Amino acid sequence: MYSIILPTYNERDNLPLLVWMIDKYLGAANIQYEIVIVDDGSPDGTQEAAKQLAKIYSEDRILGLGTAYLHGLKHAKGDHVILMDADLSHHPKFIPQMVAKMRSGSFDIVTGSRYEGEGCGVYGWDLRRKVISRGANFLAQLLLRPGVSDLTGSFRLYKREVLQRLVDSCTSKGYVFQMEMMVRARHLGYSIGEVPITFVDRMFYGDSKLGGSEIVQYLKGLLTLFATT
Amino acid sequence: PMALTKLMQWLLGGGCFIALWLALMHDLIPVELTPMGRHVTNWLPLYAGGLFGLASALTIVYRVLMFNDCPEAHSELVREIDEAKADLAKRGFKFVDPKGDKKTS
Repeated sequence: MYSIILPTYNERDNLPLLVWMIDKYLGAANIQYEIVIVDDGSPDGTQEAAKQLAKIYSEDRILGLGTAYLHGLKHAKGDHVILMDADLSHHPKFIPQMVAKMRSGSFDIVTGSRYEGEGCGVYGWDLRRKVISRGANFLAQLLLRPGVSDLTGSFRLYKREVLQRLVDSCTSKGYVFQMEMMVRARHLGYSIGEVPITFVDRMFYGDSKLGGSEIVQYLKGLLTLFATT
Repeated sequence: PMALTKLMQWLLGGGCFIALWLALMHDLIPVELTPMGRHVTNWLPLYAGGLFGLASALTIVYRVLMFNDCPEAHSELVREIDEAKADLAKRGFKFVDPKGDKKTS
């Protein structure tokens, strides 16, 4: 069974749409799933939305929690776990493709890649964002040689015990956590497959702003991984 | 197994390069160099660095230009959102109007 863990913060509007799409695509592919919503105390009514969805789609399949990110793993019942963003930038239609990839290649992890593969892409990035993204990725590839084309991506399918092991051994947060997991996974000998995905940035908000402080955090994290792994 | 961190690998590689270069500079390696060869050898770190920087910049520029924009993903998502809203409303989901009023199905 596939547990989809959704960390949410103020996703009252996107959450029902995402759940609907997950049900549509996983239902069509006959994939048994549950959705574990881990809400970080949203003031906008996200938890109420989760409760409504549990009624509509069955409480066996939708669990709403109010604890921090990845504590959701304790409550997940599946033997596979999918982590994805809850703001509709990740499309559930890629989940059946990841499932198939994991089966056909016997991978421990399958990651979505925005940068490589037929049909990959990003919508909503201006030139500045693209340059930063390509530059950052180039640097990460050069320094870490990770064997994964999209190192900061957060749309991934894991075998449950693999994710548990990675969560236990990684210490960073945010972007860098995603990177650290991939690097550690390789060090621990796990196999990683990739599926090209499309990423639709900031459906309902303005420009995707990537500020100076985020860039600094990224560089710090990158250099730390460079020096310690 | 990777016993060396990436940093150590780079230091090792860099150290070898520098050792080789110094050996060449001090004529410790028996090799015939043309005047041009001599010149390049003297400035090797600079030339290597410059070439690397240029190659990196060109790679990044190329990748930015070849960036796949996928507008169809966006339009598909917009359509599915409308479909989802209609279907959820039918199933009894109460959306919250951003202005504060509740929409009913």
